[in-house]
Amino acid sequence: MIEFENEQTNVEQKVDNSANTLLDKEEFKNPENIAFSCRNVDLYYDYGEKHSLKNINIDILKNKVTAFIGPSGCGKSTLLRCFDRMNDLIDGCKVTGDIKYMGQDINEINTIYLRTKVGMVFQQPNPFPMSIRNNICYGPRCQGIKNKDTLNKIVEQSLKDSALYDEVSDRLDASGLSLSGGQQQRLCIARTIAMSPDVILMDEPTSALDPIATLKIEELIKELKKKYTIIIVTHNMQQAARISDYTAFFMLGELVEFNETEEFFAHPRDKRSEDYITGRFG
Amino acid sequence: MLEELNKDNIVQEDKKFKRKELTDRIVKLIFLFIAIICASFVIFIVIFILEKGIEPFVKNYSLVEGEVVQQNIGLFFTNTRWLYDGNGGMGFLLLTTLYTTLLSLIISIPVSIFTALFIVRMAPKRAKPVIKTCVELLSSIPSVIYGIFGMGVICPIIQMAPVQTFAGNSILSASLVLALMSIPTITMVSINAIEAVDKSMINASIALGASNAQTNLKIVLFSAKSGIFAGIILGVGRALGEATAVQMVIGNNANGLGFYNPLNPGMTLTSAMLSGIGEASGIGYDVRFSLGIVLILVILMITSILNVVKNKMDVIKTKNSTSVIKKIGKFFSSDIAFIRTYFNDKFKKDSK
Amino acid sequence: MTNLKKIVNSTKETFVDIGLGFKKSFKNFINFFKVDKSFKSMNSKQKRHYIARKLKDGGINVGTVCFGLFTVAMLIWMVVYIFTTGSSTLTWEFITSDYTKESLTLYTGEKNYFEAGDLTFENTTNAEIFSEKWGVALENGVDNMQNNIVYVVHIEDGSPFNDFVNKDGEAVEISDNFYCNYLSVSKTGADFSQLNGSELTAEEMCQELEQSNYILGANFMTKGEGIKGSLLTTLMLIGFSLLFSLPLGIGAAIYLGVYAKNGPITKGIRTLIDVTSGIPSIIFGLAGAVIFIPFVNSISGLTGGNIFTGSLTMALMLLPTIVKTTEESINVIPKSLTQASLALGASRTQTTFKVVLPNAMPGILTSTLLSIGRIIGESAALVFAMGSMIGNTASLSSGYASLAVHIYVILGGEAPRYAAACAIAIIILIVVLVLSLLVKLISLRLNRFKGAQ
Repeated sequence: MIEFENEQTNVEQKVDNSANTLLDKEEFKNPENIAFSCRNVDLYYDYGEKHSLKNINIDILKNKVTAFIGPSGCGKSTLLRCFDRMNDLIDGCKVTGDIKYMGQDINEINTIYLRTKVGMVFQQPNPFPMSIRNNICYGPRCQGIKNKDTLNKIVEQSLKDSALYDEVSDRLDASGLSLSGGQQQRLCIARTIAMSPDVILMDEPTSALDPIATLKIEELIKELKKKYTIIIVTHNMQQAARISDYTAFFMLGELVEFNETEEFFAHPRDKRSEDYITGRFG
Repeated sequence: MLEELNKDNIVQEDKKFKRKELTDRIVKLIFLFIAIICASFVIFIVIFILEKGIEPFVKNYSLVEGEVVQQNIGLFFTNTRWLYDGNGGMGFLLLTTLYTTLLSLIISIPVSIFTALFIVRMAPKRAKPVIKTCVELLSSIPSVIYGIFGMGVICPIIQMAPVQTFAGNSILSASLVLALMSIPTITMVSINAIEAVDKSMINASIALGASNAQTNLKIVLFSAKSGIFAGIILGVGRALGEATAVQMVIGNNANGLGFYNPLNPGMTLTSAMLSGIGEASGIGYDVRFSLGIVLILVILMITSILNVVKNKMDVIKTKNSTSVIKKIGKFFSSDIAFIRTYFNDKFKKDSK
Repeated sequence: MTNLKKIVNSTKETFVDIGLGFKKSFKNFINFFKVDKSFKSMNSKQKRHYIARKLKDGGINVGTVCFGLFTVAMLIWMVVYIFTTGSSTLTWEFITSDYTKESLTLYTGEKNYFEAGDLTFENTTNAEIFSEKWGVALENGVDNMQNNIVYVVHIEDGSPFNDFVNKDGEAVEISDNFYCNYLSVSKTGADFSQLNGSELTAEEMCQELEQSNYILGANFMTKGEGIKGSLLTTLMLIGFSLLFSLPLGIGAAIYLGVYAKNGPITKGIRTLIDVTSGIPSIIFGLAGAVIFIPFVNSISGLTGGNIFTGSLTMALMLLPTIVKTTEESINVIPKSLTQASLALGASRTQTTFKVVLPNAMPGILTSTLLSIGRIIGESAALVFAMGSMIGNTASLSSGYASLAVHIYVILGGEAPRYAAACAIAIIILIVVLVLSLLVKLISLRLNRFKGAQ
């Protein structure tokens, strides 16, 4: 197995984009501002047979929206799943390099604690087949909160935060599956917020929704960024441009470019990002 | 010349097609007929058993020379002894049947659900199909073999109990055998249900900071509950209708009402039907059909109730609807509160 | 060759994976006792919660594993019990011999006794237990009920044992499958004792023989307890049941799979067939007793249950399985296949018989195998519909017990014969397991068809 990896590294030259991806700006200098920092992160699937992330170096700022864009299969969702160690669930997946959350190596943090601090919203709205109230209470209950009043407060607060309260306040005991697609996704966000996380990871949260529901979610994200650090993976460049503060562009497992969103779309430094933005491929 | 030939051909072809069409219709009718025959057998079964099962209540049997007996209807429901001479009562047989099934379910449901969970979620990836195939094979083992195991292993073990038993033949051993028999069935259906649980739901739960065990209990089993329930319905059906294995281990005690103690020997509907069938004749033979009617009714009733429950599980609630129990609770709690305030006021007034 | 390599490789991978799995479980197990680094920084309430949660999770995990292993262990125990108890009884002789014992009472002819001569016999065989006085070699044996018995394995020329006659005074030869039930002997001519083969070992019997001077009579028996009759009955039952049920079941499946449109009739047929599959077997037995026994007897003039009543009842029981399995395999056939046949000008009937039926063959085979398994294992229904008398051979006119009923009968008496029952159970188990493995293989092939679609 070890020999095999050596072969791989011999064949493929190590990409070093760190100049393009690590920004030399004031905000990035202060380590207190940084939620996640990745250094030389490589990721292999299928017991080392598939090299899915190649030498990723990126810093993610607190209380900002960072968007990951790129063609499908480029590794943006994979990197997102690294942040709350969801890749651990996949057999034969191996991550090398340093990923730090608030300056602490994520492999040394208790996974359960990490996942309560780093919430995740998935591509398909996937509320649990229980009532709306129980959907939101699920996470806190798993952490051992049993007090009814506390739970009710959490439900109310997180529904309000996710702009769902007015729509469902009269039927909290109805099944989460009875909501419409956009409402379901907002319920999933509420479910995540209920854990009072620091970071919310969103894996193409609007790709299964219609334009109006998408718009609502985008507004919600803009609201949420005041309280939370948000990392969003999206297919949709306009969306990234609309809602994000920073944008990272991925291709074939490489992080090609990372910059402030306005600057990224106005003056892409890399030829590949320019091609992608102008729609020559992707 | 050529045109004429063509015309001729066309006419001939047309005939051929018509004939083909006719055969098509006839063949279809034949298959329909066969299908209707297959489906109608169940009606015949019920009708014939009903007819034969009612006979003991109306026909006159001569049990002893010069004496005429009939199955006594009143005693059929109330007597606490099962007899084959017209005075038997099936009430306690029914209760024992239900009790035995319940006991077996108490054992088999948790065991099979957790076995399914173990196979799907915890067993090593490649060992999974092996264990699964094993369980599948075991679900096809005939009941009489479980009966041998019950007689040869379970009964001797129960005989070791400090209490005196009827050579280990007891309701408990019958329910253990039934549990063992229904475990593979329930496990197989539960495995299918658990495998069908949406992967993203599991991921979402884990991403919310739930541990693996919490996810397994609260999400996987909860989402698969209706499928698991379908397996339980199958298991209940199998346990209620099982005859040979139960008859071999239950002890066939025709004196009823001892079933509250699982270590006592008992008698179920099926074992009463099967006991002494070799020498049965006259009313002693025909009354078994009356038991058959009772068994059919019980199984139909229980499975349909369970199916209603299962269908209720599948329905997605769209509105706030409180359950009956909650409503009753609210009713009483408000009443109690009212009474309390009333008396409080009164006491206050009195004290004043 | 490549296939072999593949199999070897996959087996190897399987073992490696199971090993990895165990390693993982072990690691999890160790992790359970490890405490996180963040533990020290927690306050006391958090610590308490952390420990409680860890214990709870561990408990749930351990419970799940225990339940899973319990099931597997229980079922393995069952199979092991049956194999260990029955394997010594399961011999070729057990399979081929009659159930009833054949008894052979031997007389000594006109003189009413044999007297031992002065001469002693030479042991010409290599048998260890040899009576020099009487010239017979004895051997220990076990009958099908696990009782000890004594065989007379060899009789020397000139031994009085050659002169036994039967009741009518005709000379009898003792064939190999007879064992010695008892010998009536006398030491002085005035006393009398019976040497029971079931009570004495061959050595003791030989000693007694050496001390006796007169032999007054003997009784020899065959082992009996065999299952030839039940086995043949089961085979016949399988044949006739399939003969009755397959055409009906396949016909109904073709109607449902090919012709049926969604409507009240189709729905009704489906519901009724579903209901049939939920009926317990003992009800089928009652139905067989009340419908088929009078029906067959009125046609054939027989009395009581017989193979036909039994197989008709079984056919009734098998119908739902056959219909469902066959219909499923018809539904798997790609629609394009039948449409192509129709587009080429074939009629519905031709399409059904030339395209649908051949492609549904795996399903039909599966249902046949499942049916065979079910027939072999069925007991309750057959007790009612066919009969529970154990026969020495199969016959069309009388209802003898099948293998499963045989087990039920021999365990039902005062002295249950576990060894024989387990021996039969081994046969049933092996057949059923092989059949279900075959079904599994066929379904794998069917799945490939599904993939092509």
